[in-house]
Amino acid sequence: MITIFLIVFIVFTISRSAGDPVAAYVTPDTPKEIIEVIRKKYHLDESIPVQFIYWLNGVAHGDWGRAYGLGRRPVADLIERYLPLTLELNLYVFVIALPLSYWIATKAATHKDTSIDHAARVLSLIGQCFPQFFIGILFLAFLYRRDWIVIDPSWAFQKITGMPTVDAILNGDLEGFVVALKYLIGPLVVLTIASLSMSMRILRSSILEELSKDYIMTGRSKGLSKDYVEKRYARRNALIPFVTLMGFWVANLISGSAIVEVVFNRYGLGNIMAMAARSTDHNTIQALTVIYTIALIFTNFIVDIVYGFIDPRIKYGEKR
Amino acid sequence: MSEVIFEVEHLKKYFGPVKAVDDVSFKIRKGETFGIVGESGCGKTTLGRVILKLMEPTAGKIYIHTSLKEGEPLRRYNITAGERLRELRRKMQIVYQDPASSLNPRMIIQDIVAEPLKFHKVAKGDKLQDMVVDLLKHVGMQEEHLWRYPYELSGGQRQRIAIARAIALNPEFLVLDEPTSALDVSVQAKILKLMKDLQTKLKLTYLFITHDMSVIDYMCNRVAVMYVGKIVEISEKDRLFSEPLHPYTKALLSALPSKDPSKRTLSKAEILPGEVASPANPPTGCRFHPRCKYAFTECGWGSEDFITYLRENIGEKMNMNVAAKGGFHLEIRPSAREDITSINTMLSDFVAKGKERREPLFEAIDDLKNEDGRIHIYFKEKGEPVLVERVQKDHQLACLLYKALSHVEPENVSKKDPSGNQRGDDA
Amino acid sequence: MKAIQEQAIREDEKFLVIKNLYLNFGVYQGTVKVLDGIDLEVEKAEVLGIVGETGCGKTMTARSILRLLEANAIVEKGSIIFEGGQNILDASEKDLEKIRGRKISMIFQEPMTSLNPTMRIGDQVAEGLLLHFGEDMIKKGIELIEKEKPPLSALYKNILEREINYPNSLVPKIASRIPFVRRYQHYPKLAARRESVEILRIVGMPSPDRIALAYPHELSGGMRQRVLIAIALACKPELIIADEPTSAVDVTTQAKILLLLLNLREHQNTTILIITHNIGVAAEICDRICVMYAGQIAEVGSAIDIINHPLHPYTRGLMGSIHNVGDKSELEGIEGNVPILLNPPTGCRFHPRCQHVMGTCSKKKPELKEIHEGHKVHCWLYQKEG
Repeated sequence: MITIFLIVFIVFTISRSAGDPVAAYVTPDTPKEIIEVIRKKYHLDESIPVQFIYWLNGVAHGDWGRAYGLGRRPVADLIERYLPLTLELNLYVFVIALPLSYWIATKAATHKDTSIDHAARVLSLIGQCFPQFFIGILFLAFLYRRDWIVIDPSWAFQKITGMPTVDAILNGDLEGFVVALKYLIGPLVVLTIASLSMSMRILRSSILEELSKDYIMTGRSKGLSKDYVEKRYARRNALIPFVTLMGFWVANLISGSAIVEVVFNRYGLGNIMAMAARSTDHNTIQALTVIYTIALIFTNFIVDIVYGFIDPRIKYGEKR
Repeated sequence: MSEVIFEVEHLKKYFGPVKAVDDVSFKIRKGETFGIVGESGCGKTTLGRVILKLMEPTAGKIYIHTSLKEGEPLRRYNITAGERLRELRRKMQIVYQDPASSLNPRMIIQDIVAEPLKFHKVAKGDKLQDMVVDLLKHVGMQEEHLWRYPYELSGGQRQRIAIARAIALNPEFLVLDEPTSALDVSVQAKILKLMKDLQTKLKLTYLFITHDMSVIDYMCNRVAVMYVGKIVEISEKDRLFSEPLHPYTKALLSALPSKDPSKRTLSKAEILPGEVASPANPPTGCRFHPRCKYAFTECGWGSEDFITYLRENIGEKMNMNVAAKGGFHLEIRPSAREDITSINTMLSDFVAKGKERREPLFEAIDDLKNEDGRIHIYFKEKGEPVLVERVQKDHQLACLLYKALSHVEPENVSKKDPSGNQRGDDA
Repeated sequence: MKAIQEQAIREDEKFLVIKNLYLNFGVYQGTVKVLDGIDLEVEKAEVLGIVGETGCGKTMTARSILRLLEANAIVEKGSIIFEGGQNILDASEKDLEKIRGRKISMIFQEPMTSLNPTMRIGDQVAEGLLLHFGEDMIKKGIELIEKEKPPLSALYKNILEREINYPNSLVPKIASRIPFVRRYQHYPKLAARRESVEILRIVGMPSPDRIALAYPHELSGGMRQRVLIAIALACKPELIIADEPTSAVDVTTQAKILLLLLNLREHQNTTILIITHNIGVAAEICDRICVMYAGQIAEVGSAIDIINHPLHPYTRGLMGSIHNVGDKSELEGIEGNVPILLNPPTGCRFHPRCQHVMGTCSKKKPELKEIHEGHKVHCWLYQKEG
């Protein structure tokens, strides 16, 4: 809680200090006097801590202020529209990348130093070194022509959840679903590659570490097969340290999705954030920071709890 | 009778609830090798660190008798108070168990051994180098080893360097914490011999910590046996081996494998029931009593013992909630289905039969009451036996089986119950 | 003709024969020649100790018997024949998996790290039972179902019976994935867990039913070592290899463990191969002792012979490094250091440190010489004729 508060406050301070916040509410040719009035109305002439309190008050009432860059619409609207798309993207990435990295990591670790292992590690290195926008642009370049990617979608179905693929299905609109999928695929692939690279590497070394431990040999000495021991002993236990890195992964996803959304013109939160940063749109930046911070801290929190469940060595104040 | 060089009084080191060292007192005489032996968890390693104030003691006092300048008379310095500690450090050093981790892997041998000399500004430049070479020769190494890194040396060689470093400042007192436990047997022999030689040559006094009884026999003059944070017996070495008095010492010695296959003793080993007690939750009264085959009524039977008894004899059929309210008061509540009268009857039955059979656990029960829906069992509150001279002079023992010598004040015999409540006969 | 036939028969009846074992490790700097021609025979129901210091190859010899070697281990040549069967070093993994834990078990050295930290103790002991005595456990599971009568009894019983009678049937495989149906697996596991409680009791574990539900980190080192022993004897193996079973425990626990091992030999005719660097332990329980140095066998003989009348200079040095309580004699170490096996000494690997070294010692590896019944030495000192 405290962390969230601190971060939010710091970002607030920084963003308010740059540029003139009034610009969000006026056009270039608004007369000076009106500017002053507006300034007073939104308390923009007060000191920063005071402004912060007013802002908090606004948030409590659902008013996150107005965005400068996107036609001065209420930020709350923006969030409502674009959050689902980012969410959708990240969910897909998560669902695909997690089991996939698990599988690849196991193969790499158990066939250490063979071609599979080397291939996996090289790919992972490439994935981590090449900037995401680069891969993204490459993708765009090659696949846009083949019409596998859509960057300016339009569809006819009703908005229910806000997530295109889901809504398409709920509407029974198959064509729309295909469009939504194509809209999704570009960012999805890039983000998955990025996530895979990171998580596969970590999981692989985690599994390798478990494999070097003594209890593996005890298991084999009982007559358990190599497969069984690698999967049920090493891999399962390797998940435990891996889980702690989930927080890091989510952070990566957050920053990553901003990049791919810009590249692929996907109207998600990351894209908005990029625009807001470019035009020092304080309210939007503020609001998005809050959302991201909450997301990150929440994820870490969940991770901690899950960790307590899956590792029998951790007990929350329990005595035997 | 040689003079005392090192004194420890009522030393305690607690790590939160873990009483690693719990009220330890002894004196070490100049020139002797004083051994501390015990099993894991007894606190001997912690003791070694705290004694040189490498860790802060929780309570107690440590003294060293020495003279800090040439010609000055001997004085008693209080180490715990920290008086002139930096100078005192030249007089007392330590050699650790693990030769791999006690040497800085990024320093060459020359620097490792020279470090203490440089720090205390004993010598510089060429003179320093000469001293280092001299030290290496003392421990059986050559000049060429000066330029090596620890990883290039064997375990035995590293331990020699550790010893060289320890004697660099000409100390009088050396703490040796399992110095050979990590070494091969043939190397161990050489290092032990080296240490004996150095002791004679450099007139050193040793505090030797180990779990290996044969090393104790080879190296030590007097021995203290530790169990769960306390010293249970201090005696001259030969006497300890030939006539151990404390039941724990007896068990320990009986479990020692004989090294002659034609004279095997294992089948006669006394197998102690249970596990070594935990220093975080030591038994009431005498810490060894739950495992002692000579334990009697006064030894400090309490709630935990009764709980163990219930677990072993009733186990699954137990339909009650048992809670220890302090070491000597046990409260039993029936769980949902049982009714208190039947439990009361069963327990009273047990207790009565136990008292009939004169079993110490039951004889120590003062009272069994059934009130407000609960059964209360009260044990006689007994304290811990104090380490004092019993039976013979110069043989200290913390066991109520033995009568204290007449010069010992009765209240020192056993805390909390000074009424001279021990058996007068040997076990 | 008859002599050869007799020889052949005797070979078959021998319990465990290690012949001419050469083992190397491939490392970055080159090849480490870990075992240099090991010849060892283990007799049924004996307690044989392999004694030596660091790097002598005793652990590797033991692990070779079960072929539990690292990926970079190469068997140059040699054979290990158990009960007249196939060469373990050539056998398939599948065949070995039938032997491991069932006919030959191993107790490992480090109790603190040799147990799976996320599995309960009872389950770890039961694993071997379920693997090697699967059928028995299923049958007992069926009995349990009949006693308890859970909702889907008939179904569970059916599936379990199928597993026994039609080992390749797909039914159990499918059933094991369906949420409620797969509970049938629980019953054999339960049966196995109960067995493991009994086994824990045999190894002297207090409150075995509680311990079975505990995790390794809740137990002390001594208790964990006993769990390892329980795991090893769960399937009543014929040979137990104990690698330094008491090095990490206290003297009082050590006595308990050693007595337990002797008990196993007494009552179940189990053969024990114990690896140790502790001469006292070897003296107390071994019938015969084999002394190894730097990958070679120095000497083999009865415990009394080896300890009280050692022949090999290394063995003598070793025995001279041991102090016996009450002994007033001085300790003698051995000059020099154990060699690095990347580039071991030629011939007899002990020759650089030997006080009686002769010309041949560095040129040729000494052959085996049986000095008197059962007492064999590898040393040129004893090869001189006349």
